[in-house]
Amino acid sequence: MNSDCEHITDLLPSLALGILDADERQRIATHLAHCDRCRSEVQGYDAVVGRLGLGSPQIAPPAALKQRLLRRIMAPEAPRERQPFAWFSRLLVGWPRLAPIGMMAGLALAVFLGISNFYMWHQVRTSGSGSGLENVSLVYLHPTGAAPGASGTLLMFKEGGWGMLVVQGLPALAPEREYQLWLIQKGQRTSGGLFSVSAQGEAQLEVRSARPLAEFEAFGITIEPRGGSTGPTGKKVLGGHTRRADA
Amino acid sequence: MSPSDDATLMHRIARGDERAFDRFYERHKSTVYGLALNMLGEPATAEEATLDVFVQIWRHASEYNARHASPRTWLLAIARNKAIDRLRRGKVRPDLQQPQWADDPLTPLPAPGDLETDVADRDERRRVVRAVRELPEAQRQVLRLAYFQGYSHGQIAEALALPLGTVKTRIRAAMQQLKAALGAT
Repeated sequence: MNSDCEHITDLLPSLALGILDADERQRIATHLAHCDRCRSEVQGYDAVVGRLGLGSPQIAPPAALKQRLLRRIMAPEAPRERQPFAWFSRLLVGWPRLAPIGMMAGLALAVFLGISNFYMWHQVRTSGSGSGLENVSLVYLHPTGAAPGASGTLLMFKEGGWGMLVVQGLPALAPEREYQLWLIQKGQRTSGGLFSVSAQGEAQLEVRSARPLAEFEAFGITIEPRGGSTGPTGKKVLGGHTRRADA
Repeated sequence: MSPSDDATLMHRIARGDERAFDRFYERHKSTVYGLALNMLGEPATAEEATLDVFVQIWRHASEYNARHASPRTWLLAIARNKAIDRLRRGKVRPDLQQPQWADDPLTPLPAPGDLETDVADRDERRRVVRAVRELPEAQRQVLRLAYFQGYSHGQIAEALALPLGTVKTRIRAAMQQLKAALGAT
């Protein structure tokens, strides 16, 4: 056990219960990536959470539910149910197909910052001319054969270690697996965070890095064990390069 | 239920075997619907959540990985997540009733062909109920809000008028006791 463990162990049961906020999860993920002991402890709590539902009363559903289920699985997949931020996710992910780009970029940026970080929006607005888009860059993440229908966009501030990843079309994973974002520079991969997707395959992840995100050459997303890995171990599902790296 | 039997069914479901899916549904429908109804309070919403769960099983059975969890654990995780999604989207009134663990998890009649595994299944359910019942009420209270309603530390603290640190301490103590009682390593 190292000194970090003392601050983390109190939160491990809540991690297993899935009730931590994004900041706490990120902090723990960073720690778990290099702490076998805490990872093992989380697995023990996961096993508890996995059995707690057995203590709920068993109640037989109405017999008609089975017919409704059969009709539903025989029917074509229903349109996706609207999720919080889903429209925004689609805006960003579908950005390359939209025009005019400048107008959409401004709109997306305004929406993005309006819902996530007013302070940074204020900084952008007051930092220079126009929309402030000169401070922002985008990296489009393209699917691999492991997730052919997926797409993603990483929006980041050129001079800061902060950004937002939006993905869609990724398959939902088993509870023991998570997607992990990798920030890549000269072959070195640094974890950019962990996330799971909704039933509709969508997710947003706030990305924080000690270095400006724009300095990284590429970004990738792989499937990893819950809690993350120190380096990619699973299948890559999305990847993309910065323009600087493409040049 | 036998985890290995369930795992076999999952593999068959992943290949589109409707008979396997039917058997899996019959085995687990009361577990899923019971959990959903307990969490959501409304039968109609619980039915919708149950449908969501089994549709996901049908469409994504190929993503199940036996190395990480039993099919029933995976199923319960999906069921809990679907119910919490609905709670967080505000589709149900949270004050309809307080979700609880069962006093005695008496099960409906087992599905045909599952009689031989039913005794073991009931025994496992009773172990869980006993372990939860042995928690101090103060710990059980915070765990109930965390597990059945997906409340964050802050939400629990606000709901129960407790300091945040007390909430974290009680959750950890409850989970440690359960881990020891259930033999989870």
